[in-house]
Amino acid sequence: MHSHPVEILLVEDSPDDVDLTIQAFKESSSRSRLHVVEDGIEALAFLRRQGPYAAAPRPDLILLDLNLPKRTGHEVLQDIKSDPDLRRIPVVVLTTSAADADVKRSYELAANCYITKPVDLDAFFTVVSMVDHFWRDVATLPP
Amino acid sequence: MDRRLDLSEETLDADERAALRRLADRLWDVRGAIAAEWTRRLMATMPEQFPPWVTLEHLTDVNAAFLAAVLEPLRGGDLTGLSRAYYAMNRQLVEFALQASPDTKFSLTSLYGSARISLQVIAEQLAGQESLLLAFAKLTTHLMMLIGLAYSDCREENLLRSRHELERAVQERTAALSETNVALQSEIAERGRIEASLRGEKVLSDTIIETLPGLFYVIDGARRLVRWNHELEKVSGYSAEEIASRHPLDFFDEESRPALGERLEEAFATGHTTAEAELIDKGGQRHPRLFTSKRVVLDQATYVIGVGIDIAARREAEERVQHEKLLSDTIIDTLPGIFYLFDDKGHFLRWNENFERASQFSAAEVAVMSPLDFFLGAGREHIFARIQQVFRDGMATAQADFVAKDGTRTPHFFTGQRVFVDQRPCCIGMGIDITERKLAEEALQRRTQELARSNADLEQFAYVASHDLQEPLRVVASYTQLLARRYQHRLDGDAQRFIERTTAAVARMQALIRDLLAYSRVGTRGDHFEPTNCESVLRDVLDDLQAAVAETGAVVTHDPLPIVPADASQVRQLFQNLIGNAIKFRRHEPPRVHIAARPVNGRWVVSVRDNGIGIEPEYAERIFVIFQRLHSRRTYPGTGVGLAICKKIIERHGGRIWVESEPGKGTTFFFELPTHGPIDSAAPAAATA
Repeated sequence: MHSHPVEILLVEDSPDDVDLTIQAFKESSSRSRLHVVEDGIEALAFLRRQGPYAAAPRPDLILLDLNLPKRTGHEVLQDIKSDPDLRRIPVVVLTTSAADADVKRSYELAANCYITKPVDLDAFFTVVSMVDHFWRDVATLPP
Repeated sequence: MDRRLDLSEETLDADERAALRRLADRLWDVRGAIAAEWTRRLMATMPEQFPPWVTLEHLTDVNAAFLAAVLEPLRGGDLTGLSRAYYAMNRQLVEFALQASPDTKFSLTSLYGSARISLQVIAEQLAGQESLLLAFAKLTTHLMMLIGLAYSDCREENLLRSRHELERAVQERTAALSETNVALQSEIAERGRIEASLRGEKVLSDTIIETLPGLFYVIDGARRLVRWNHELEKVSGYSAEEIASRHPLDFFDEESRPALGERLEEAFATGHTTAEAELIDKGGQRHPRLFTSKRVVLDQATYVIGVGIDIAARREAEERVQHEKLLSDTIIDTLPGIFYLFDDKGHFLRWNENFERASQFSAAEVAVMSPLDFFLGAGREHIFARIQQVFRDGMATAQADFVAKDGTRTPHFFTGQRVFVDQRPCCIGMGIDITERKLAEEALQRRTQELARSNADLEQFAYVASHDLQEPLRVVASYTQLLARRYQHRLDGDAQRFIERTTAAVARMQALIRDLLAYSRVGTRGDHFEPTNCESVLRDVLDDLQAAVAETGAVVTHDPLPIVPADASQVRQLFQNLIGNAIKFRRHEPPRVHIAARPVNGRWVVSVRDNGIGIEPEYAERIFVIFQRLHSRRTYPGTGVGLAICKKIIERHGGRIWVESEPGKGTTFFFELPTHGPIDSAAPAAATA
């Protein structure tokens, strides 16, 4: 149970998906605060509070798409998990890919969870709600 | 007085005695003529009685004296005188005959014979004078008795004397004889041995000469054939007399005579010679022979003896070899490639015309070249290693550029086999120009690579396209749903229907893209082949299809299925698609599906049989083409990708897929899967449903 709202960083380049995810969080009546970056470089800048992100909060959870411009989701995942300051932050891979290779590679790079986005809207909304609920209310996040 | 000689007075009367006196007087005058006639007849009838030195004239004189000696007493009437004279004369005659020639067949018969002739001649003189003849006949009987008496007396005396002499001589000589006898015996024995030995030697040499496997001849210093064996007569057809009369060179034709003559002289001069020649027989037939002659000296005379061996078989063999060579030369020269035979030192023994043509080197040049001279660089090393392999392992093949005199390189395929020629290891083989094949191979390889690349590109394109297509589609679907979700109560019936249509179309598009993605992944994303148990794969598939099976009341049965080397996930997809189709394309009755497998030509042929609606034969090929559908979406929904995926999966496993169907009765799909080796080891143990 957190006294302050849960900070979530969404790494997603598609505005449509960003919007749908925001809508999903809205419907789940979440108290989480969603921050959005469009690519891996920006994601790392946000996490390291560099440049425009100097005042950014430290996220409690990262939702990471794999199909990203500049640096792929896997590369971003590797950067996070090899950074001693960042590696405790749970990373949930949220992607359209259901390929075994992507799943395997993600867990090898220490992803905390891998979720294939359901094509159906209702199912997607349910999944987002479950993720929000799980990490906010069920799991204990690192201090 | 010897009474035996007495011619008594009373046997002859006075008249007869007077007649004998007259007879004697008469004969006295013609005694010469009587003696001549008597002697002539005597020598004519009994020539064997006389030694060659006795002449007619001489014997006539003797007989005339004989007649005179007996006629004189008779003329005086003195019969006793006559008898004595006649006895004495005959006795002398016997004595003389025995001493003069002890070996003549002189006998009493001879004496009587002679007397009869003389009396006959006398009787002829007295022809017509009966009284004289009668007296003479009486006298003749007496004379004959005297001859016999004289002969036997003489013989007896002679025999007595001879016996005494003989006894004495025998006594004297017995000692000497016994001495010489011993010497003689041993000499005889020795001579016998030598003769036997000589006889043996002769028999032996005769046998040897006659059993020689060829002609035997002895030629003397005068160049005459003096001895030969029967074989010469047999082969030449000439008799012994004919051979003896022929010159040795007469047995050969004119052209070869001078050379053979030289050879014969060589034998006499140097002691040895050989010559090959054709002996011509009496009938003109030729007999090839190898003549070997040697000079020998016997009893200071020089001879040449020799044998002639039949070489007809050898000649024939040589001719056959010649024919074989001609044949093999022709074969070698008409071979489509280059031919070579070289020994382990790299010297060429044989090659064909193509070799010279391809290499541009002349026969004389090739003869002094080595196999490696026709290669350069890596090809040369390759060929060197392969030639070594031929001599080590017995055979090898190689592929290299054959380099001609002008530097032209031509790709060749070479074979080499180890053979032994005169007990030396050699390499025999052929080289085939593979320029065209190589070009074709390269073109094929290039095309295959291009095709593989273009296939890969296509698959990559399909994968990427379908993946990227999914994103906006998901967005379309999501927002349409969001619209329905948030504004359902504010939309009228038409708007609601439009949203439903949009959602359905998006769903279908998503299915198409999903299947297209699956299709494109068959080639690129396949796992490695591993032993795959078809029965357990089938069980998994039936689990997945449980809902459809339950809904339709389908009965799925199967025979024992094999374990095959395959991509398990693809085999699973295969069964899923085919069994799914079998259930989907059903008639009104519940579907019945049966899966079976049987080995055919080293592969498994798996069949999936149903009792569904069937397929028209004209569509048997088209159903495997991607997006091809036979039915409306309303009756049988689907994307038309399932069988195309099946085909691609089977092709990736090196097999075929085909269909047999009867519309309204059912369909059977067949597909081939590889085996692990011998079919038996993977064969199903028992049939179960």
